[in-house]
Amino acid sequence: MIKLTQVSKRYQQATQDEFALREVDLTIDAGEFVAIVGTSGSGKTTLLNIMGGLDRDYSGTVVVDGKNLSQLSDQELARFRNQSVGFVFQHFNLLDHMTAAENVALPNSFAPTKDRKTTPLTQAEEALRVLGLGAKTQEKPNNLSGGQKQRVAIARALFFQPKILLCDEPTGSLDTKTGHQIIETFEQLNKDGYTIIIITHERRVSDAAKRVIQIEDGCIVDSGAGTQ
Amino acid sequence: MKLPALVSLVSQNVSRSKKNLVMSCFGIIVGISTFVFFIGLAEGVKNVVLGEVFIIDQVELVPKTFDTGFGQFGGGRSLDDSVADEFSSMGSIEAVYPKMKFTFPTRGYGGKSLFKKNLYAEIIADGIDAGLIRSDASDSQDGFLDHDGDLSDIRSSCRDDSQCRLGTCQFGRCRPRCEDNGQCNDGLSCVDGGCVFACTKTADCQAGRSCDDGICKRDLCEYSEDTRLSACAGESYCTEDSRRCEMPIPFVVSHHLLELYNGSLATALGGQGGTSAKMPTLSKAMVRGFQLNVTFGKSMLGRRFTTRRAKPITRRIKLSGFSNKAITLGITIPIDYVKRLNARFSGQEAALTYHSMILKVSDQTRVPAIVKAVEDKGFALAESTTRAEQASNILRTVESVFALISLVIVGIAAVNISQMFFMLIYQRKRELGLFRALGGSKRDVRLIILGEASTIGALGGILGAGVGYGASRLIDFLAKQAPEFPYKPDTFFSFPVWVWPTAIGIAVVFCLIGAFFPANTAARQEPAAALTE
Repeated sequence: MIKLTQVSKRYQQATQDEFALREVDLTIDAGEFVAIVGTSGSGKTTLLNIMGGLDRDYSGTVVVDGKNLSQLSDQELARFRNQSVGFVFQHFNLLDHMTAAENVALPNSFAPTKDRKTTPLTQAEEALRVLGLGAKTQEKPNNLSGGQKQRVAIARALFFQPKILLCDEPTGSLDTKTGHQIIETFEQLNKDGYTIIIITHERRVSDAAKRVIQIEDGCIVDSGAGTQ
Repeated sequence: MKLPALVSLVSQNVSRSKKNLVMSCFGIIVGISTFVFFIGLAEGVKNVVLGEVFIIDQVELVPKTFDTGFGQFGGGRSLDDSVADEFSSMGSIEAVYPKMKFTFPTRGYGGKSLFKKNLYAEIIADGIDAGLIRSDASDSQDGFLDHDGDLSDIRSSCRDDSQCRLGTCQFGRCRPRCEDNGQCNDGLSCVDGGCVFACTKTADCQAGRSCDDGICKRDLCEYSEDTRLSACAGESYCTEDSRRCEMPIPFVVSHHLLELYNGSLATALGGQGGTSAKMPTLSKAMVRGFQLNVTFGKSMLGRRFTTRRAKPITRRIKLSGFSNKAITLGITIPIDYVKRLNARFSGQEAALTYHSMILKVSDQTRVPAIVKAVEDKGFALAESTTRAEQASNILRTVESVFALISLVIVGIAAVNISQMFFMLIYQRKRELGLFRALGGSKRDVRLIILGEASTIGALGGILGAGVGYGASRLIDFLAKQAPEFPYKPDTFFSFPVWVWPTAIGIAVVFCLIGAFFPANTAARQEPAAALTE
């Protein structure tokens, strides 16, 4: 499903270049629930961005769902992000001027075709209902709790039912109880067949994952193969 | 990205940044309202100046003269019917209207009904095609036609052709020669080689004529100073020289003559030291139909100007109406009257040679080519045409300067818009990064920014056009309160249809230019970097 070969990324510094990732080789299969752990600045988010096609400035090869990301055009990569992967961020990244349903339907604005039977908003409302937010579809994000916001963000990530969910510290801004509910949501999604990759600092999240990859100074020190 | 989605995102973004929208629109509104206002003003002034003062859709040509330093001398080609035919056959000339001036002095007197006493004046007159006057819709000119169209000469009677300077002697009068009806003026028929008013009964004839042998012939009358106006039927009157009934000669005057009288002459003559009776202010309705006596062949300037070729004759003239085609100072009458009078007082040649010709142009853009043709054929342009060209050039320059000033204002607004978009992009960096993460391409981000810019441009353009138009209405309203003055138009503004799309188009284009670099900057932004900041 995801295969990284000799992937490196470096940032130019004043005196010498600094590696964010160094010759990373990694394979993640379909249906896995993977947690990527490591200290701050170890390269976790960079790795996630590269896998999700948000960052193209790297060396090496990244193949996701059979697509070599470095060979895709900007339009093709945009379509890949739109249809093949879903992102969940620590700070939710919801647009305050839109309702919960409009936020969920936002990926539809960038969709290349329009061949659904239901309208995007109806579909978004249904997704929110599934996640327990049926009464909040017309609420603006400012009127939602942290957990509700994150569930709206998850619903948005799932709008086109991508095979892969990429989550960057999804429980980082939530209290323990809410964080636990979100983890349960991811577990359920994984059972439904989604491949889930979560970056986390939190033990409870990595405990929920079926595989834990540890990264330090841009290198994978433990690919977590033994935890499966 | 599909258009409906783009429109939805753009409208949401614009409506949530109302403060920025107002700030951005302000410059555009100022610039576009200036543009619309000045273009409207320039077009309006152009309409007045080139439509009424210096008419630009026509070229007036005159015979060429040579200035030797001791005076001007003729020598160029003279203007006659063959020249008119030459120009008529040229493309893009709609019609040719010859003009002929009196070649003898004329004095007029009358006006007691208006001024309480008779006034005397030297009459300046131009003869022009009655059709040209009737084509002017600025006023009605009822009755502006040649009532004596069946006469080629002004003579009481003739025995044979040798007594007619023009035309042919027929039924005892000199008449225009013809071979068929087409060669006679409107209302006339060709009978036995001469143009006549045909009839079956007297009711078919104009006042003062009776039907005799199928022809409307003038009634004989008993002339006396007291009964001359009542001796004939209807409006016709008895002439002293021919002792026959005649209709008054119709004339039109320029609209500005009345303005000149009311604005200057009435004031000058009504003040202290002027005539004892205050001169009345006149309206068009008051003077329409006004009649006065004129004596052809006599001058106010003394006996030495009295014509010797023929005895002076007195006729009545009647004001038919007002026209933009009339000469500014003087009266304008149907040209055939002038031809007959010139033939009587100055000889046949004077009746066949025109003083100028108006070439009515069907397409204004062809005016330069026609001006060149006029010069190539050995004629000169009348001063009015030269002035029209100069006025047109000056107005075009002024209009361009105004448009340029407006564009500079809109340009400054575009710089302001550029800065605002750079600021917005900085503030919305995460949002734009999110768009990319959710499937937006660089092109989509660029489209969103440019879409917002064009929306601001369109709104600013529409509001600016509205403000400009509103300002023009206000100026017109204020102008209506101001006193009358010559050439004062109903409106100082004219807005051609192209002004509106152009104004909005300029606003949109300048906003797009202003947002171009910010949009590119936003599109180039890496989504990963944008989301982590």
